[in-house]
Amino acid sequence: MIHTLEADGIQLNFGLRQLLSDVYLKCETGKITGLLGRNGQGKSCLMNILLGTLKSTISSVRFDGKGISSAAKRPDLLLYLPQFNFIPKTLTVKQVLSDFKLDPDEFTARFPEFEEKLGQKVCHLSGGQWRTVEIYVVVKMPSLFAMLDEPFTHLNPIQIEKIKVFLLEEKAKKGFLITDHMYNHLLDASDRVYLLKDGKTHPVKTLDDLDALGYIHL
Amino acid sequence: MYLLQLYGPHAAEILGILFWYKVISIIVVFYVSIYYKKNELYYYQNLGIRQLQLIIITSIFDFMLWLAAVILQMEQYSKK
Repeated sequence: MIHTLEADGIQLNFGLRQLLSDVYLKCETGKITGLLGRNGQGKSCLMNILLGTLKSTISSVRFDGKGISSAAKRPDLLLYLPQFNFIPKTLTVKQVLSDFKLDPDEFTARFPEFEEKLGQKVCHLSGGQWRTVEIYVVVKMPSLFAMLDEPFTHLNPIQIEKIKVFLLEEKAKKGFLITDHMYNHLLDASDRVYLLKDGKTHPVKTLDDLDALGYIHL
Repeated sequence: MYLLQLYGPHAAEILGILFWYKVISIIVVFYVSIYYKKNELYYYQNLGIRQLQLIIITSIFDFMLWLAAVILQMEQYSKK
């Protein structure tokens, strides 16, 4: 069964400034939805509205057509990878995997570089490795949808390729909403991409679309 | 605990002040930790633990620890 996460009519004002005015977004299980946009266009705010941790002036967020006000209280529905490190730095990799009830052997089979690092605190890992652990737990934890805010930040090109393969495999189990500035990787991995510009979402498919909307200059 | 020792047999008279001091310190500690550890709240959110649950459980634990220490201290004096 395909599940859907839809948002429309989202309006967000900060004082006199209208950040989001006409947003429509649809995610489906089994698919990766990309969200592009320049800094300050409201990508993270939009994710927080979907999560229910940021109240918008007007919004309609629906899971399978049913309105839900605070998905943050339902990790079985929606998980969130923020753009900053969220794992407490005093925890070891093994503790984190145990908290999320994930198998360390499965983790090291996918990321063999962690074989000797399971007992290390996450703050002693490199930025890319720390991010890899965070992406892994959010992607692997059972839920219908996961939102990843700038997952490729801190990752080197080899790690990015590994994460892309991982996401493409895992999308069979859930739907992803991903935002990142690495548009090439996002276009490559996503089934559907929106560009957030001037408070509105614009469906895009190719680099030419991004150029036409002024996101990149070809 | 130092104040209870200092007041000795009259320690019961300052218990009210100590109680409110503890309550205020729990509130202050809560606000400071929410401010400095706000990024880590997403860890617990993804685990399905709500912010309110964290507040209530840690505050109750903190208060019970304080209460146990006060009771032990008062018992020591009552035995003397």
